[in-house]
Amino acid sequence: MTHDSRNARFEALLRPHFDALYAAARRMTLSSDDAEDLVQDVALKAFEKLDELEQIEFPRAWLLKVMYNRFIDEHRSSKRTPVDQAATGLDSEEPDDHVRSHWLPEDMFDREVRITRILMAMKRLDSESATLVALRDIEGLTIAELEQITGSPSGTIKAKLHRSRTKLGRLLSSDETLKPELKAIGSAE
Amino acid sequence: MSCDFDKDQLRALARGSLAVTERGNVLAHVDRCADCRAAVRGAEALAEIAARDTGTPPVGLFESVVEKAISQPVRAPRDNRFWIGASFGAMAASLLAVGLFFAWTDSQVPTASVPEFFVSLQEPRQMNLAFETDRVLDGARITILLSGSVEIDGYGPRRELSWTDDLEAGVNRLSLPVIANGFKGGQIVVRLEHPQSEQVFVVRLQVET
Repeated sequence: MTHDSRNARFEALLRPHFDALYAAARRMTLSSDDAEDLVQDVALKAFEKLDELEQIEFPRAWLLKVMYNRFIDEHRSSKRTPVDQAATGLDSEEPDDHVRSHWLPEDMFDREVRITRILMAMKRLDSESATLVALRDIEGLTIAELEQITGSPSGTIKAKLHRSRTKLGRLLSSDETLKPELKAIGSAE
Repeated sequence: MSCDFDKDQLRALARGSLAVTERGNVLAHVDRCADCRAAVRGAEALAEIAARDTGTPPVGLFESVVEKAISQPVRAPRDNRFWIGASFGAMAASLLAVGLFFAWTDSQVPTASVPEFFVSLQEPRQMNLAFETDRVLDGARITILLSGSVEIDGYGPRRELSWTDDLEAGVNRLSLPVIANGFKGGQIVVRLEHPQSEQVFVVRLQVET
C-alpha cells in the first residue's frame, strides 16, 4: 500500500463529514481558531486509525465522538471563554476595550452568556456522559449509531442520556456552573 | 429516584416536537417530578446549542487539515497532555501542583515558602492545585480569594469564589485559569474546609514581563 493511496483513502473518508465536524467544533468552542484546532485534532486521530475507521458503519459518529471527548477532556477552561468572544465580537483579533461591552446587542450578549453557562455545565459532567448526550441531543445521532460506537444496548444508552440531561438541568438551575473544575486524578493507596 | 415516565416524551417536549395531544399530560408530570423537570431543562439547553448557526468551514481548511494530518502520522500520546503541556504555563502549573500536594491525614500546613506562579497579560495560564485525601470528602467548602491585578478567566472581576464540592479519595486536581489584568501581580488564597480539617494555600502571582 503506498502512502499516496493511503492519503487518498483518508481524504475520501474525511471529506463527506468535514462540514459536520467543523460545525460541531464551532458550536462547542464558538471560536474559529479553537474550532480549527479541534478539527485538526480529530483529523490526526482519524488518520492514525484509518484502517479501523474504514470498517466502521457510522464513521461520522466515530469522528464526532472523538471530537467531543477531546473537547470535554482537553478544552476545559480553554484559552478564551465564549463570554470573551461575545464581549469582543466573535472572532475579533484586536478587541477594543472601549467597545467591549457595547459591541453586541443585549439579547445577543445574553444568549452568549447562556451558551457559556451551558458549555461550562457540560464540562462538569463526566466525559462519557457529556459526549453521549452531546452526540444525541446536539449532533442528532440515532440510538442505533450510539449503540454501535459505545457497544452498549439501547436501554442503557437511554438511561444514561436521561441521567446526563437531568444532571445538566440541575447544574443549570443552580450556581454550580460557576465552580472551577475539581477532578479526581488519582486513587488513594 | 426512579421515575419510569417516557424519557423520549421529555426530550420531545424540550425540542418542541411533542404532539399537542400529549403535551398536557407531559407538562403535568414535569410539574410534579423534579428529576424530569431537570431533564427537560437539560435537554432544552442542549437543543439551544444544537440550534446555533455555525457557518461553513473557511475555504482551504479541508485541504490544510488533511495535509497536516498526513504529514504527521505519528504523534506522541496525548493522554497526558494536560500534565506535559505545550506551554510554559502548563509546565509551571505542573510544578506548582507538586509543590502544593499535601496529605489530608497530615493536618500540618506545608511549611515551604509561599510558592509563586507566573501569569500572563496575554492569555490565561492554568494553575493546578492538587489536594490529596485518603478518604472521600463530601461537601468540602472551597473558597478562593484573589487580590491584586489578576483574575480567574471567565469570572470577570470577582474577587471571591466559594462553592461546595466532593473530593474523591486520592488526588483531586483543582484547575484555575489565571490571567493578569495589570502588571503588579497579586495573590491567591485557596481555603478548603471540611468538618474534619481545614487547609489554606497561598500562592503569589507574578506577572511575566
